[in-house]
Amino acid sequence: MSKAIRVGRGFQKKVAGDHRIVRYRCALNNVISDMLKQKPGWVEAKDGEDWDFYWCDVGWLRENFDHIYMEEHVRICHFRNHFELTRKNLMVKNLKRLKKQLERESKSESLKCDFFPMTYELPSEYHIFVEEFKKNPGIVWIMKPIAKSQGKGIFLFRRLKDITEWKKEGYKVNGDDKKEETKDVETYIVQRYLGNPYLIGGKKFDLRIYVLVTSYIPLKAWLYRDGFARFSNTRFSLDSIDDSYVHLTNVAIQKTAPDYDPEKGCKWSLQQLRHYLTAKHGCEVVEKIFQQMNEIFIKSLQSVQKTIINDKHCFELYGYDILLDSNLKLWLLEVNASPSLTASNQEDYDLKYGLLEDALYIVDMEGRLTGKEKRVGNFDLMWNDGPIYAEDAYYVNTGFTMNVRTCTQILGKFSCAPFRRKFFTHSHEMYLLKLTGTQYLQNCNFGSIEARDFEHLSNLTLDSLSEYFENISESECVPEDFDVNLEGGVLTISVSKRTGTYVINKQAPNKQIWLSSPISGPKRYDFVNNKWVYARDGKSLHELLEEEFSKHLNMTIDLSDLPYHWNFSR
Amino acid sequence: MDPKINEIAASISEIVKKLNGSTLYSQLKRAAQKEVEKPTASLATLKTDVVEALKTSGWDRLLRNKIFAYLSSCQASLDQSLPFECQKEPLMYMRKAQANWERRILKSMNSMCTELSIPLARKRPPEEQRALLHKWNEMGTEEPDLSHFRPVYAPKDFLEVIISLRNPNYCGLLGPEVDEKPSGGHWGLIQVPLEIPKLKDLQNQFSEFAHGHGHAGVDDNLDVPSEAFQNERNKIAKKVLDEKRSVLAQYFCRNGCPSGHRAEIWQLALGVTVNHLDVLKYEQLKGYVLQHDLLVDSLIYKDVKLTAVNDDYYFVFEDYLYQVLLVFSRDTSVLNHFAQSSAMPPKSFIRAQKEPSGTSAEQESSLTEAIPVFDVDKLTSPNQSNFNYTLIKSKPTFPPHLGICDDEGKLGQDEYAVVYPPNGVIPFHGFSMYATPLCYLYAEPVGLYYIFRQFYTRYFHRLHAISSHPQGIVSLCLLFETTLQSLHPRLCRHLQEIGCQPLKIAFKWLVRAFAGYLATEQLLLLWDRVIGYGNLLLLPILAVAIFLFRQSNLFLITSASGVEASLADITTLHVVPLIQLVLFPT
Repeated sequence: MSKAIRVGRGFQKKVAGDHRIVRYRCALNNVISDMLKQKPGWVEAKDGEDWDFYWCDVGWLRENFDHIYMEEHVRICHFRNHFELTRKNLMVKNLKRLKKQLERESKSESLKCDFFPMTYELPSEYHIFVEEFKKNPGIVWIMKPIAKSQGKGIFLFRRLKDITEWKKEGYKVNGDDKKEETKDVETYIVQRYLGNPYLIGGKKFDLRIYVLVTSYIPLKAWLYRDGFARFSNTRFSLDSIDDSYVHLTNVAIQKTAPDYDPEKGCKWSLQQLRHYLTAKHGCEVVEKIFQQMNEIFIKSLQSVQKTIINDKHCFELYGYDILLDSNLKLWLLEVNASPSLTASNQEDYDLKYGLLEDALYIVDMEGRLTGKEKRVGNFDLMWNDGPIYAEDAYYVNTGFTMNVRTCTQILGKFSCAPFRRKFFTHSHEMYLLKLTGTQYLQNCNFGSIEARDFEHLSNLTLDSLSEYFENISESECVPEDFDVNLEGGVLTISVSKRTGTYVINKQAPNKQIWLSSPISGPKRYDFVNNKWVYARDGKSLHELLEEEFSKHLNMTIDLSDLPYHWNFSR
Repeated sequence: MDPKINEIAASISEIVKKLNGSTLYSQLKRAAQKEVEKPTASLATLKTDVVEALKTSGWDRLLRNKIFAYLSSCQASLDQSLPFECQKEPLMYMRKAQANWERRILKSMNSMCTELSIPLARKRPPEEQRALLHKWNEMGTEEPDLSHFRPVYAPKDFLEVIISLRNPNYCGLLGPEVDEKPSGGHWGLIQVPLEIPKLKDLQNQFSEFAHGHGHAGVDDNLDVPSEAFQNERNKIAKKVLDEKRSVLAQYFCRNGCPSGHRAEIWQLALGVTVNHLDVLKYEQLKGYVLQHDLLVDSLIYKDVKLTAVNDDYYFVFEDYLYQVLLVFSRDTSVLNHFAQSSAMPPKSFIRAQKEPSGTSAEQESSLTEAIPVFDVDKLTSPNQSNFNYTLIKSKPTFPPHLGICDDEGKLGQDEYAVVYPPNGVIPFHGFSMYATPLCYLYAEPVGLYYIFRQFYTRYFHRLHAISSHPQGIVSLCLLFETTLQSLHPRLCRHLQEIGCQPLKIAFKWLVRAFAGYLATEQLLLLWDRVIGYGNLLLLPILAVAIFLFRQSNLFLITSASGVEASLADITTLHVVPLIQLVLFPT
């Protein structure tokens, strides 16, 4: 293993208009491998073959990272010392350090770091822990093995006796069997258990939010909109601390509960949670909660910014576990480097599939992005060597309205009385777009209509177009090989061999309709103002089709009866 | 003499009578006594002093709120000289239809009992009671086998009945026989002539929806500079809550509550307070749930599993729903609402072996206190060969005295007749949705329970009883059809041509007051207005608005199932602007 293995040789140069082939490997056999298989232009590299992209596990990384030399474009899904943030003990160490550092600078800033519960590492900090334990009699503590995830090996206790027994046992097992490993006794952290969680319907829950880091120096982090709240299956009470089902909300543990029903799911999307909290506490309170959440992401990433070995080949998808307590304060429970990508049901599968798809879009093996995007798919750029403000990226209608205030300021310039009574057909973002013009669209990749709306709108659009073109294909001026086909959300219209084929398809993740025209090339249409508009030139889909097809077929094509035509009147 | 004065006098005496027995009465009395005992009291100014003192100490407000609550729950008492059944429902054909409908429900319940050989009620053995008590907070984890149970009826069945209603005295212009054809009579499905408000009346009644009024649900949207509006509303909300006056709170609801204050404002507006007595009462009712297992419990379980548990948003509240709905079924104070409703609570018979328990219940002075409704362990036990699980239709008597029944009760001795279930309400498919949205506002079951009970006894009971009441489901359906026809005849015609009756789609929305169909925050905005105006007329208005709003799609559709599909998901709609669209189009 002394020789460094070169990885990623012979990567195709990008040919205009064509995708290059990405050779990938994947160590996991779940949603991620499904997703990679279906990515156009990506092929799986067999064992021993060269590769450009590897969704590896951490074990592989540990053994091989130092022995390979990666070409410029190669990407893998972990940083070399990813554990600085994801091992529970190291995370706490790093956060404590950052807090101390900030304390020197300003008190108020360091208070923002108060989002992790009292934590000690065992056995190394056992004595400090015992001291602390005696100071706070009666409170409940939770023990977690540092390197295990998905709720393995976790237990709660209230008396010191419970833990001394555990300690003895731990030593005995190691002591009897393999004496030489005594010093390797498994490290645990012991944490103050949060005894006053916020309950909904009497049930406890925690939040899982995904954050993608593509670079640590400078820090560049993306936040995924579709986080979720996981509910514990049973009602919460501290009386029965042996019942680990109640206390741990990890899906992995919940699954073994006797009445677990995967179809039922135990999740709320962040949006649903937001609605609930807003109904109960009002907007301002919710705003504060979500600000706290952003603080947690940024502070925790900053705490390891200097420790993590930055490498342009690496990116990392973190799963943050966060708990809300009854005082509406958020607590960071842990950060996972390889968040469970096994789906528990269809909905979960879709969510994770979308997450990975969007993440890989940002990792950008194909070189499609300009590097200036503020939103890609459902990811919002939240930090790029500094905070991202609402002037740059508009956050409404997601779990994260970081800067609604700024938005309202922008809007202040535009909105006036006649707008106030408008009936909102689609989400508010549309409305904003109308007001601020298409400049916005160039910055951010909008997907603002609700998913269900999108389905409805896009289906109706494609159906009506296909019907229209079917109908005219019978007319005389249409060439014989004219063909219309709508299948699985893809509408292909081949005009003639000479002219070529139009492909119109819906892109659910981006909530766009994509068009590829043999004449004018590819375009992406957002639903704005009750029509499909291409942001760069402000033209609508129907307008373009009318124009181009009128030329092809030498007849007037009038689509104005179709829904979502540019002057389709309601 | 002016008949108005008579009416007012009657309702005053009614309210005074009601107050006499209430807790508030004794509280007031005690407070007054304390005032009198004060050393500063002087005989000359005693009366004014006491009144003044009661005012300053806040009792005055409580009394006003109580009276306001009475006034809004028992509207317009009809002429007392009329027979009781006519007071409940003046039209005979409506009375008959409702009675037939009830008979059908009971028959269906009875046959379910026979089929499954389960009793209407049975006493739980002590171990089972303990187990249930232990599980009380997480009843959702229990998965009883409910596959044999089916909802007693669904809104669809109920619609059939309403459609078939006819007024025997009414005759179309072309003669009675033409009436059956769709071309004669009304265009819609509802064929009974009832007076419904015209658009102009509605505009007057709901004038706050006109332009120029700020509304939560429009003006608090994020994309308009809304902080000023929201701050203003929050400020007023706080003021209203400080004032503690129900009238103000109710009026405030008309423009929508700011979300942080909605829970309290609703409580105030509906006159719901939760003090230690109410908590005790709840605990008592919970005790009854533990003691007896009723057939309706299984129906409630089944309904919650079918509706709320299946819902992505609401599954979280499963446990709360049991804690509310099971307790609700035991609450005999719910029976009071039957005085305003055309419906009658069904009765069952206790099978007695020794001294009938009915007598002891009968001796209870107040109905609300007469709890051990049935000592049902004597009633049925599954190993008895001929256990008695038959429900019968009770004749209109009110209050439905326990143990007193007419000759119809040939199945058992009259004195053993009891109302079944104790609250007289038989849940149907979707019933639990009346309670579910409230889970968004109240974080503990007791508060939730009382608000739900108030909602039900004030408004929702009208949504599943046949009556000529202007808030009754029949009138609401007719209002929906007529308004839609008059506002957009072309759309109606189009729908009719493709074989789609709009009411068939809108009916399920109306029966559930839109619960489970709209997004929750929108639903709460709608219910704000239900409280604010104290009526349900906005439900059909909103239904009309939805059809108008989606008209461009509807015109493209050429099949009835297509219409249904395009209106299957209305969760993205915004309620308030839609209502404005109908009432005050621009």
